[in-house]
Amino acid sequence: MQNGQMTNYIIPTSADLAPIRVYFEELGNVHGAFGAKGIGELPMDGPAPAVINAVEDALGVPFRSIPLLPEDIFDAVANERERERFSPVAGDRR
Amino acid sequence: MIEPPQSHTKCEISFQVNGKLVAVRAYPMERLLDVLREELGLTGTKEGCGEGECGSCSVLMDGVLVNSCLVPALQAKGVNITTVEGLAEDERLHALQQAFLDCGGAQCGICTPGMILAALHLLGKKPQPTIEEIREGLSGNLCRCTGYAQIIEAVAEVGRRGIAG
Amino acid sequence: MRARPAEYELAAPGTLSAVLSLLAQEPGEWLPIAGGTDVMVQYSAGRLPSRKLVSIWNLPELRRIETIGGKIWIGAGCTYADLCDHEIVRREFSLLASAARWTGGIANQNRGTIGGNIVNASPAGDSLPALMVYDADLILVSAKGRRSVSYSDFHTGYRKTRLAPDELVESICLDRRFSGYYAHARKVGARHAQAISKVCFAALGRLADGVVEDIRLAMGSVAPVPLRLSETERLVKGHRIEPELMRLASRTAAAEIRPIDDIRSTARYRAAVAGNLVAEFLERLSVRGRTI
Repeated sequence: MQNGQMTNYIIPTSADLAPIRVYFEELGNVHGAFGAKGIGELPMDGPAPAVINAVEDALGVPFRSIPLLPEDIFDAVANERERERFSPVAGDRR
Repeated sequence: MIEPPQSHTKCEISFQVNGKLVAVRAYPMERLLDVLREELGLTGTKEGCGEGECGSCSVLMDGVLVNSCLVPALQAKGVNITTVEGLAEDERLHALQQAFLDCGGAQCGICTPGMILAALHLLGKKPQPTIEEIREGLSGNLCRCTGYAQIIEAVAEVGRRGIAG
Repeated sequence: MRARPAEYELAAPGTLSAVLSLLAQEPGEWLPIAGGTDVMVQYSAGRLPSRKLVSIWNLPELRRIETIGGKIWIGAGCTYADLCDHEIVRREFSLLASAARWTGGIANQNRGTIGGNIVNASPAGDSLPALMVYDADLILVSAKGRRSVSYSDFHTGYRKTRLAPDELVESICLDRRFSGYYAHARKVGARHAQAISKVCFAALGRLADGVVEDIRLAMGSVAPVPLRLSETERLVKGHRIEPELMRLASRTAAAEIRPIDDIRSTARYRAAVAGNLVAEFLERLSVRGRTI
């Protein structure tokens, strides 16, 4: 296992998290009793793509996998700058 | 030839836990965490990582927050330990415990005893901490469930109500 | 928990001289343990080679801070919390106080000691760059007596030091002459607390008439040992801080260090961050160095 010690299994501490606001979108689920839907698992799927899309939107550089580390962002932006330097059409935006 | 490891003997170590004097027979290198849980049956203190990274095993040792998984039993000789079991007085919950209940500060509960002790330690130094100070004061206690929001709210609530409840 | 406590001996003689006698009788046999924030982690993982340990936790001879004649003596047994709580350390040696606040979490700061950070000799030790720029001297003690070693000479290689098998670090001695300097420290890690550093940086600078009169830069996690950035210092000293100098200083710092790829970060990222930290320091020095 790559990160078999807690010191390498990095999760946010209380000093790291941004404020989280929770809203319930109550549309009802046709398959669940009285419109019920599980809220344990599904809310986990959305945040990572949302954050990655936000980073991509901010930087204009594509990101397609997680975890997204500062090192990955740095490499992608640095590589993109290299590409733009040598591209005949500089400043091309995706 | 590899020598088989020696087996040493236990020794008697006495200290105070939650105001009561105890004497245990333990190996000097037993972890304080295990002495509390196994010898003394005080299972409120949890093992989350065994490396001093998660804070689940936090206790107060002479009023100071420490990770009990990193304290050899012999170094606890003569000290005054507070565990989560020492907070409530008979049926009356400690202000922090009540606030955690009122604010929904626990989900699975593994981090909770350590969180409460870390909060107790913080409130001892800063009776009305700011949100920033709470975030920093609890930053050695990891929670995988809550995202910390209700925990921070619970501690802030005690700051508002006062620690005497 | 992968160790069997029954296989380990922990002696606690209770005084420094008794500990030193034990170390002298059987040098290399007894592993000193203070707060245990490092030793106990190895122990629990079943990776502690020593079966015999001697406790140096809370020895009054090691856990004290004294100021005598223009110097401060910080006992090696002082915890990070002890350092943060001391007014003179906070005021005159803010780089050490900052490092003490950044090391582990609060519970670990209450047990981990500055002596442990030094002897453990990890290049990622948060206090170590601060000790370098403050020109610390280490007082090493054994049953045979005391000797002083400049901290800049203490590391001989990755996790190797000049400490003899019968020796302990007794105290760290610092000159109280840094009040007139602009002090700046930064730790870059994976999160805001409880992070082993990707890069940690301690810097002191002093301007006279807009010219850099003295500059001291040290970094951790960028080489097998904590590193003094001497080349970058030489480049900057005696000059005015201008954009071109800052760019050159960044590049020099990035080239001077020897970072690696490891579980925490990459060499490329560390080099870029190192350069940025130096530039950030110079920019702040140029503004705030004037008002000291």
